[in-house]
Amino acid sequence: MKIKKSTLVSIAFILPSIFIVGIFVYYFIGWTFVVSFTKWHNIAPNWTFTGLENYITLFFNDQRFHIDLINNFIFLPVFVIGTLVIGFFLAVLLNSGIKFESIFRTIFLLPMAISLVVSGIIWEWIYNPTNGALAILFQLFHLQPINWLGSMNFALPAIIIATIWQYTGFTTSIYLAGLRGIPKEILEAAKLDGAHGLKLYWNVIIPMVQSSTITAVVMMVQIALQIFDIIWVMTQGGPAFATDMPAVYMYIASFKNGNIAQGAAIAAVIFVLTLIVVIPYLSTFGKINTEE
Amino acid sequence: MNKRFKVVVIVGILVGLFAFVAFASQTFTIYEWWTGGTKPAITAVLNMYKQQYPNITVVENPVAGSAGLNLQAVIKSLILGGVPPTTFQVLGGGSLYGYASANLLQPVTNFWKTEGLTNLVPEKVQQLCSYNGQFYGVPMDIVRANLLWYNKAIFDKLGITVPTTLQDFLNLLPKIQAAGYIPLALGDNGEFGPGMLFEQTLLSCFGANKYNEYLEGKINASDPDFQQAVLDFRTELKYVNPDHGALTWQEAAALLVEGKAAMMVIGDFSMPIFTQLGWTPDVNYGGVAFPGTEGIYNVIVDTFVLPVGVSDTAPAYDWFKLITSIPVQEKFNEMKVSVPIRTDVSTSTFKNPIQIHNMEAFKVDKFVGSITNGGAPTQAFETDWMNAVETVEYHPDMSMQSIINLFNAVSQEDIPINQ
Repeated sequence: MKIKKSTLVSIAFILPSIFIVGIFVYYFIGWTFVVSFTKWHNIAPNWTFTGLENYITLFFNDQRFHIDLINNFIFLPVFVIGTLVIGFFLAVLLNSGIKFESIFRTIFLLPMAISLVVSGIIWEWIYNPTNGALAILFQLFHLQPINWLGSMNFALPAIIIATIWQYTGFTTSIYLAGLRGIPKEILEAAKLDGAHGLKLYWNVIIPMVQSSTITAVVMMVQIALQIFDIIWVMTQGGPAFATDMPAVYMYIASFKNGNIAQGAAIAAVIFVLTLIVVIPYLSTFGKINTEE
Repeated sequence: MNKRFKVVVIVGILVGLFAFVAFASQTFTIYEWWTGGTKPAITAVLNMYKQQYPNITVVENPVAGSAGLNLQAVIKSLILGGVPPTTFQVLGGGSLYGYASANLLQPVTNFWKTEGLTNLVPEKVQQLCSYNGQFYGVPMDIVRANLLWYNKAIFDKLGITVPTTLQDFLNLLPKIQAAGYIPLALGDNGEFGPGMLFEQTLLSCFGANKYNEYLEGKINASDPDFQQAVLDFRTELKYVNPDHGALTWQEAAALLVEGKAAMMVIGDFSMPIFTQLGWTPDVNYGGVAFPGTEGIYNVIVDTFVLPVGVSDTAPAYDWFKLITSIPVQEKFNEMKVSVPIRTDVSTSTFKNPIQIHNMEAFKVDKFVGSITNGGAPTQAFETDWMNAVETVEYHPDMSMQSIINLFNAVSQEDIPINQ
């Protein structure tokens, strides 16, 4: 079989990135899985094979990990739906020919440009029960300030709100691109057929931005499953694990306790969970692209 | 010779010289976590090092946050990556044992012996710096954990005296609350606060010997004194600031300074914060042994270590020699408001009366390690233990049996046997 010269050139261009991604992504994913089956429970490597022991400990004996999974499964849907719904709403507003659109677009997208650590510090101040922005606002209305980050009931919702604020700009930009990609003729034809208001959105626009939705869902789900920075800055998983997440536990297990194998097992679980949620969406995305 | 060639020759010579200087000079890479109120103290010592060893290039890497937790993440990555620094800060005890038991540190026993430190440093501190008969840590300062701080103005106004027993302390809490003050300032955010409060309550109930036996695994949470400590801790929690979950210990300390709270339980590393906030010891505030722990020194040791893989060890030993010398012990500890590691350092150059009292106590008190600050058998033990404390704190309805089970389940895995 004769390979075309252009194909060889293409392969030559792709090879370096395959090499780099292969080493720095896939090799280390594989390495993490290998470590998770060992007895590397102190800082120095111990490659003694222990089978599924680390996983059995996590799933059957580790109460903190159970709490983390529950927290993550509460965080995930609220965060994903929140960013998608608000992001879509803001994108529709921006796409509606609003005045000073570029200013609003900058305002909506700005949080995306701020690092999670910085926004964590900002929100920590907003939530401060003594002199935070919300406390001052509550006092103006003669209301008792809420101890947001120090309360078992409010800490997780407070973190979810901060994270939604951070990532809504991202979903807004994805939806804005999707909305601008809808041909005007289709919208006009739909209007001629009697589709107006909510009907137009429900039957025409939302299905037309399905690929944007899938992209946003995939991105938001993997962010939710791997959430760490903002929680570390704001609560470090407290109070009493109310905001603890698998990634926070992974960090503590690996770098504080030096239990590298346990940290690797947690990382592997996060990875598998991400695949379970993301792969069906990716396959749907592939189908949509093929149909298009 | 044309002009362009001359330029090339000059640039070549400069690059060559730079490379020669870079390779010829020694490098001293140090990682430590003193970035807040204690930053000026470590900077002063590093400046002394630079002056004494001008040929050594000093690379400073301060890593802020969580009493060294963030630094440990960096260090473990460097060590596993085969590029250890010349030295790094680590707490004596479980944290140091973790590195030593994994054969990641070079022993510094000869240094201890040649410098005569074995005769100058108390035995418990030596134990926290050594593992299986070899020294691995060189101590720089001593911190005392079992301290109760109080706002003198509030105490004077209410006409109350400083409690000396745990029962007196517990009896005082409702009286202070009735007067409209927060009896006890607490900050949970960042791990420290509740762990240190329970630790001191436990130490008060146990006494030094039993506390050490608990850490050695000879007695467990089923012990009646342990259960009493849990009950007392729950009582204490009824009198803390309601926003304790959101505050760091530094923010909680501010409540004391602002005159909102009357007392606080935290180590003497709080004194630089008090000073920064404009407070003077024995004028605005007092600091005494936590009630029921007079005569006991709940010790925290900051050490520097020599990692395996450092081939040129001379700059590290120069550093060790400097930090254990009397002039540096005086200067550093005066600035950091901590206690010198050597018992032959005179108190005459120190001005802070609380610090001087702690220095005197350091010479005569019984020593116990601090679970919350490196004195636990392992890092996993410390993490699990503090998590258990936080669970008790936020679950006031938890049964005593569940609490006992929780503490008895604290990680006993892979505890390095320190002989």
